[in-house]
Amino acid sequence: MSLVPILLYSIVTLWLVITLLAQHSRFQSVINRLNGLHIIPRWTFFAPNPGVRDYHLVIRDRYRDGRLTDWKSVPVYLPRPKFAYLWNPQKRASKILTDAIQAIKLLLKRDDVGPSGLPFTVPYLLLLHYAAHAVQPEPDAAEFQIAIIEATGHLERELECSFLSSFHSRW
Amino acid sequence: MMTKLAEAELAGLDAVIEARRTTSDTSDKYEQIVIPIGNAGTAVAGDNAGLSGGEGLSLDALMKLRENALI
Repeated sequence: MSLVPILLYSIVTLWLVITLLAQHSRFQSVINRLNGLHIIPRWTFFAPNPGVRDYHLVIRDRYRDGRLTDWKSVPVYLPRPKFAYLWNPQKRASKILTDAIQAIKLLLKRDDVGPSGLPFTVPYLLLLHYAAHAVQPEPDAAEFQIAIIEATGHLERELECSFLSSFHSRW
Repeated sequence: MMTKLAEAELAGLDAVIEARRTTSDTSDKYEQIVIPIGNAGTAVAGDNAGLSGGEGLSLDALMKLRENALI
């Protein structure tokens, strides 16, 4: 056997061993420090509960006289590029928004933040900024509000509101 | 994953949101499995810079207040 296959087998074997070790909490902190390229997977990525929920970001405007517009979907997930399996950096943008939604759900439960402190947190500001700029405001609209809607199921989806923001001035 | 809602679903959102107001909490069974990139999904102490309220304020005003509170 030549040197190249031996080298390749060694790398794959080492990768497998490190991957197995990374599943144990005892080694996680050390391995995470060396895993800058995120090439060591964790079993919890898909298990034990695979993601079965879709997140939807919606927005609506309020006029000065108090009338509300209909809810509009905020486009977050762009069409998948043809070669997304090779190179798809735009996935990071939608992932950040998904993370912001998760962070909001966690922050809502924290005593030192909660619903009253949430408007000053980065995840809230991030979603607010994105929604306000991704959807054209109605003419003469004074304020806007966003909501996070979670959907389960496929053919007959069940919707659940996990977060409703306050109204914020457009200007 | 984030997708778009159908027109009929958007039209029925008021009822969904009203249901949220009348229930104590929503399901969070799956929230822990999301693996954040960078700091976007990480909650740390002082996330709100000690501020609260903000209803009715514009995005710029909220960000300015946060910026000033962190100086």
